[in-house]
Amino acid sequence: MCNDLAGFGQVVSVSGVRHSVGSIPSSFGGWVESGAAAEFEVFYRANVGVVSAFFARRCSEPQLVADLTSEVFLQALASLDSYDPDRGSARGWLFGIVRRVWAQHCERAARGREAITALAAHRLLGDDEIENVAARIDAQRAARELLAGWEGLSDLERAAVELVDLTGLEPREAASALGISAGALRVRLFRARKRLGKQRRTDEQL
Amino acid sequence: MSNFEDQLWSQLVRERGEQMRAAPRATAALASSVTATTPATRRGRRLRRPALLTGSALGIAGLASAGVLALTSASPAFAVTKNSDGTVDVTLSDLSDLPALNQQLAKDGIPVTAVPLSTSCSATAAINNPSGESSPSISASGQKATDVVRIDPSQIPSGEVGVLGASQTASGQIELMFGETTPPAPSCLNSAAFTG
Repeated sequence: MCNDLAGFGQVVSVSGVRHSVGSIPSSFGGWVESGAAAEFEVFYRANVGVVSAFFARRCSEPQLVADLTSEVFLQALASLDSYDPDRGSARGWLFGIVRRVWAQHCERAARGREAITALAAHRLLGDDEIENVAARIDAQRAARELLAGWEGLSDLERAAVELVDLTGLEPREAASALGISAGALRVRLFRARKRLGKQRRTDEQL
Repeated sequence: MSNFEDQLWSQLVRERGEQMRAAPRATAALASSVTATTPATRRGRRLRRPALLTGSALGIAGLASAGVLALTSASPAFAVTKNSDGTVDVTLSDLSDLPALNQQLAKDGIPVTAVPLSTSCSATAAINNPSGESSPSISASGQKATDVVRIDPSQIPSGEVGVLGASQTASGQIELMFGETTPPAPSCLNSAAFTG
């Protein structure tokens, strides 16, 4: 099973399926003359930390966390045309992709296939980067343990609480990522928090 | 230390720069619609001692001077404060607020543009003051939670504008670096210019 924490420690290794960074396209010429790259970088820098944290709560291998994080932004770039600011926030849109990438990974893992063989342009991390990502995984230790204690919640409730209370998304952004209405999200959030509060009080009495 | 975020960004620009350029409206919308909400995982930033750096020639020919600072999560996402002596204090704690910071600078009539600072930026705007000496238009002050980059707009040479490069370290700290250039301001600054 590969949903949320169930996948932690059971991730499929991607050893041997990594691709080296490709050459620079001749048409690119190493120069992005428009402001588009700078604008996307603002969006990237503002979100790459929470995206990698999402995967760091689920995976123990730095390379896999890095590959899944890369995949999110590759898919985001490939589907820029699908982003409509009138239909939701940028982070809601991005975390819809995050959840899709995780689901794709889990589907492959369930089939016994190498995790992300179909994904292009992933690269082997350098030692410094491994250390860097490993620190992110360590930093998510407490959140991982917290998530593990949420077994009484439905998948949607767990996702709602994680996106809002751990990731820091606004409820409307989380609703967009989960494909539900803001009202439905608030109901899930209310129920989940109430249940978790009750669970915590029970734990304290034991 | 090689940073995962920087390396991934470099890869994205190299391999998918065309996709970014092909969708300027989407990228503009993404940048401007990023909320000011600070993600939970980036809270609790630690203070770091500010320092002054001197630019060197590498694509950017000699940055005037730079203030490097870190801000606590208690600070606002950005702040532009006019002082009685005409100087302006600028703080930034979240890169997603660069567009909002620029709107505020423009609204206040301050000839400074804040842009992303990264290792992958290939914009070749020449930052003036090739001697690399500290410019009178910039100073870094304080070692407290209220650390700021102080800019004196009156000292920015006539016909030039200020460029404030902003980047975020792996630990979540914001670094600001300042230079002056002939307009228009570049869309980004290359941090390699500061390490040469």
